[in-house]
Amino acid sequence: MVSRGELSGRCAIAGIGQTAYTRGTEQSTLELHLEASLAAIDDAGLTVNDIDAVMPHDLADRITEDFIIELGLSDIAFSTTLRSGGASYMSAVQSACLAVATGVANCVLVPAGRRGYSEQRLSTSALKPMPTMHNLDLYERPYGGSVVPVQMFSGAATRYMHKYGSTSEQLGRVAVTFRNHAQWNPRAVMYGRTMTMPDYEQSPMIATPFRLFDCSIETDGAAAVVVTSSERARNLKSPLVLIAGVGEGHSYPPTSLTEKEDMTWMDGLHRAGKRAYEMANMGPADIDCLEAHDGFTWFILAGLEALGFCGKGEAGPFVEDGALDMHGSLPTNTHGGSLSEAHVSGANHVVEAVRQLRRDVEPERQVDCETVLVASEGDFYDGSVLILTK
Amino acid sequence: METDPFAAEFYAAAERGDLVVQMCDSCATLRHYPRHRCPKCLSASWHWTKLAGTGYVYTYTITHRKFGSIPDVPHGVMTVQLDEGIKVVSDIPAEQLDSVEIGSRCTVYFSPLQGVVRPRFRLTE
Repeated sequence: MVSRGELSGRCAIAGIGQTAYTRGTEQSTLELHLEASLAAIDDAGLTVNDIDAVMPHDLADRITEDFIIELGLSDIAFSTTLRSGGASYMSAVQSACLAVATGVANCVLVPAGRRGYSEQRLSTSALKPMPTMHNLDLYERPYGGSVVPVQMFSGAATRYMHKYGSTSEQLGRVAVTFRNHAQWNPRAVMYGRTMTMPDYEQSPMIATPFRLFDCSIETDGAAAVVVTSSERARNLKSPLVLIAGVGEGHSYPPTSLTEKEDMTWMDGLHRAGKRAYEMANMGPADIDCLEAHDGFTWFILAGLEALGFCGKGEAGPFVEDGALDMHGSLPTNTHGGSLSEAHVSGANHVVEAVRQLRRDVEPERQVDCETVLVASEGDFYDGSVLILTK
Repeated sequence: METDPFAAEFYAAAERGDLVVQMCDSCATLRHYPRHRCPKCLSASWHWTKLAGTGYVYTYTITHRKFGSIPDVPHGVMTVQLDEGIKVVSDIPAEQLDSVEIGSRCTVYFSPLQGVVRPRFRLTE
């Protein structure tokens, strides 16, 4: 019987790949996935013949057979698709680890991405219908509520801010900080487009308290990683990046914010974090750098609390003190995040974490890190967490 | 119209002027949104029970873009915590947008939205 802790360090991220992140593309979602996948396989120093498992991403609406036919994956031994919205990506990495650690598969491809600008804009109703949204369709959308994600979480943020006395400046600080980080990242869609606090405060209000600059950007692009055993990765071309911890957590009840006992607490993300910390035998104090899902600025405040970086209600002051800056106590979203680099369903946060540990990012945004935590939130407070080490 | 049987009955009750939620026959726990099994005791046996229709604003958001079905902007949506402990969502009457606060008392009324009579809430002065 293998225990959770024994998985620590058994697997590695051997390869990473990204497409360009753009606003506008001729490529289909699948073509973007294929490009990122081939880049990741090549980055690992492997070929398509080495890939024996693939985890298509729920929100991208791709299936295993797309990858089998297009990449010529002739002998897939394991495949699964996780369905927890934005948390799916790192839950997929967990599944990859389970497959690799047990020998069920050897080289797992985990791609994600979308045409978030050219097609599936989160600011419109042109999203893939999701079974988890069933109650919203029946009891919220007819009232003009929860029509798009910004409205779903704006109510939660309002409650949170009322409960803890948070300010719009604290939300704005998140937006400005990540935009600053993006200025050192030529790959970021917001590279070259600076944001000051007055810019933030003057950006149009979308759904209170969220302004335009509180919302992640709509972009086109895809990214992918390849997961192998640590032994295999040691012999491949890139510096070793180990999976020290991974965890998945689901919220209860999961199908709306309305049903939750406490709308201000990301319970599923908290549980995911606990599991990842336990596997890695670590705690928040061991984390040098954080790459966290930032669908909205407020997700970072709630995420910091759920992951134990500060107590409940303390994230606003924590952020205001500059903790998330490149030279702060917890550099966060060093690539600019979903707010300023691109929204790639969380895959770009994993890629950035790997590049940080490989010492392969622009020097201005290189963190002297040994341990990076990546966090994703999906649906209504489901979560997945990855802890990577050198 | 909804093909979901729970929703059909919920809105049929609204048509009659009743705000209803499920109550477990075994342990009297109330629940909403509807489900087959009691969250506390897992009993499959339940009935619709009428609620008083009063509560307070748990949270709200004012939307400034006409997403999807939103008729006009600014558009207010609130989550109401009913006195029985259940939370529901409602639009905010346009003339009350400037006075809504967390904690404001509100009361149900029944009126059509998108062609169906639904429970909706207004702030009580």
